[in-house]
Amino acid sequence: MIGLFRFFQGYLRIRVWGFSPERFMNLCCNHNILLWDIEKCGSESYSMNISLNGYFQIRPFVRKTGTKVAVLQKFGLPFFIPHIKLHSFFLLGILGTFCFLFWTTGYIWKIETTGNQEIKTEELTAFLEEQNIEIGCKKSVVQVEELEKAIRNEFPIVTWTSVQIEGTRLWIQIKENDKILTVDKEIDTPSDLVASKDGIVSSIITRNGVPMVKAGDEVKEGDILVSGRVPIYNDAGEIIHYQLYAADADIYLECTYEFQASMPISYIRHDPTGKEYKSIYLKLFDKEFIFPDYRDKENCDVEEDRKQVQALEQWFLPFYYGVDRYSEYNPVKTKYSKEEVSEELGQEIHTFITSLEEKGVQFIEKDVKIEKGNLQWQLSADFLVIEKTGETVPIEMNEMSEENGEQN
Amino acid sequence: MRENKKKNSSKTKEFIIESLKIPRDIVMGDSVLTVTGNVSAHIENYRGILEYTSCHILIQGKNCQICFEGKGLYIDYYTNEDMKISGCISSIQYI
Repeated sequence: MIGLFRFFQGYLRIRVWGFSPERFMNLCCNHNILLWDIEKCGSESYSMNISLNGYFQIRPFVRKTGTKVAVLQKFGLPFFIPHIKLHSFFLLGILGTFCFLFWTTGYIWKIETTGNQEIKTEELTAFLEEQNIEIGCKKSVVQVEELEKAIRNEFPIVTWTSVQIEGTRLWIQIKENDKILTVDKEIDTPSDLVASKDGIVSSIITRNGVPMVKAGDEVKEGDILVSGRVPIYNDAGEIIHYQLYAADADIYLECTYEFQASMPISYIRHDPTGKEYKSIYLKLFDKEFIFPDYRDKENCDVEEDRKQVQALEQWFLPFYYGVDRYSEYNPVKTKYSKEEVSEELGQEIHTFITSLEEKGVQFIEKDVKIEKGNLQWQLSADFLVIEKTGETVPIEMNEMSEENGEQN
Repeated sequence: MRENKKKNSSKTKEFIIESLKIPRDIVMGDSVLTVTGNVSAHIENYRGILEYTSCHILIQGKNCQICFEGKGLYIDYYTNEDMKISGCISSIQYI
């Protein structure tokens, strides 16, 4: 900071020699002229730094002490400005740069999203574009609180979101929930429990309502398993009317799942030839410049290493630079080996099984077959599982009143 | 007569310093020397530089002279209030 202050004021490196340079220094010091970096050079001379204002006051001290002073070097802005006057375009360039940098601070030049796993960044970017928020938009377009609300409404899986504008960066932080939060239906609403899948009832424990099936019964999708209509009998054993409840039960169903996946028999393997090309990538706003341009070159793998220019940590600018590496390859048609096929398809089936297990499904039998067709490998799997069922379906009141009417 | 007066005034000052616990550098104008290791020294309350070479710096204080000896001695800054000497200081003498 002191250095900067000295630079703006301007200072000189001087050499002092003669009868009594020490006395010269003492006189300067007593008249509040700051000297620094005092160095003995030679037998009778000293070199030191002195402020520009101080230099104009030392003439009497020089005479008094019988010394001589020579300027060795000049430093600081007062000596720099005359040079700048000669290079007015340079000065204009600096001013223009500052104006441009100031102008860029009013816009968003980078959008960063963190915490999204289920929601893809592309989905989020597309949603932001719908809201007129994209790279290069004005900061005033982004209404932080409204955008937070809009994200939560658009993606129900998002439980918490934070939108921040830091410098020229829009930072969206998201937290997702494993289970989507749903508002619980009113417990008192009269409802039946129906089967959500075909299968055989494995076990049923009813807490509320009338069970319509028992363990071992075969049911089809949509069949009522537990009815919320509880009949009230008179002394003669006749139904006089129905009382309505929200049916509640733990029902486990033995049912089947089918899974199919496929992959091609062969693929194009990239055998590197060893030839590599490099091109420099530049992007100014939306315009891209690549020197030399190898994009039309066939049979090349491209590795892009691109960075955005930052003036400060959070101050991104609309300039990008980088290097694109093109490695040439020979395309070789290759068939997948059995191990590769079993690994690839095994991964898919594993994902399917994991997704069912997360829902609490218990597996009883698994039948997995991998067959080779003319064009592709085919995986077909049948699973016998036990899963919890019982979909709540509200009872229609009209239907109920008709039934009650018939009974009366 | 003058010497007697000086002696009396210095005795009075000494008495004030001891009774009121006032720092000596304020009343007597003693030099304050802060030495960091053997690489730098910060000096306050002095009158001026008497001699300055790269291995020897002699400073005039109010009551005594202070002599720094060493190698590559160098004055970082020199103002009316304080000064800083850096280099490899081997000895400090009060003359």
